Amino acid sequence: MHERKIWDRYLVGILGSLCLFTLALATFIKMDRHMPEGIVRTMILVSPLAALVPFLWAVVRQVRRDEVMHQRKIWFRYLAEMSAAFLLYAVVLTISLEVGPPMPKGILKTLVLVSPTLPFLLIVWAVVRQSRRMDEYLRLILLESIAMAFGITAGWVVTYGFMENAGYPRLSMFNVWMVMMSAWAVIAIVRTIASR
Amino acid sequence: MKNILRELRTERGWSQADLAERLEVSRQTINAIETGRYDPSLPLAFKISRQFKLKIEDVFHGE
Repeated sequence: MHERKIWDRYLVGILGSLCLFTLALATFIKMDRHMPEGIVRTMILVSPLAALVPFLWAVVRQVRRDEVMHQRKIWFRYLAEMSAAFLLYAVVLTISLEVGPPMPKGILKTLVLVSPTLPFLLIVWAVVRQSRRMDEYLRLILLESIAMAFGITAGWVVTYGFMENAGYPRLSMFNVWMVMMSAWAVIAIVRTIASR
Repeated sequence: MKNILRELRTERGWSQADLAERLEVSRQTINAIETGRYDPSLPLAFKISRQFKLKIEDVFHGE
């Protein structure tokens, strides 16, 4: 198959799963306020993570198309580590959201609610390990993309800080994470389109 | 920096993927070096020249 077509199919897969993620996230934000606590609400809260399955499938298909065996091995190892870390994250997050909220206020409740941070650190560790396995050019591209995402996020945070002085509502710190990841995703997609 | 990587590779009938496999780098990296979008580090430049059994200055030269 022509290489450009291969990249086009990959991009369709990636963009499709990102749309699914956004849809699941929007559904959970809309329904969260109206739903009583319980397993159904918890499942809706973690449902955006399910969108990672088609995302993973698109990436696996793309890696399988790579003709360089050495690179295939590197990426499959990364996907295995990342999938395991994400699975663990989803399980701990579900348990934390189910068990944490009804608990009485105290250190134990805080620990249960922040427990998803531990598998999240495993996700970060998987990215760091992969960046060390990558060759120097791909590592440069990765670091440039992260630096650009950092710049966009810093610009957004500072600008919104000034907007808060003008009366705009205070936002949760969680928004910073969403902006950073969205910026990173957009930069990665734009660079993929430009280089295919 | 300029290089004759593409010429050396095609002389031997290797694809970019073949050379990438031999050097344990990605095909994108070979493409970026051949098109002049990326200048490799000294260790990688030495690895490339050794692959073709040439001196580093025979493969890479200043503009």
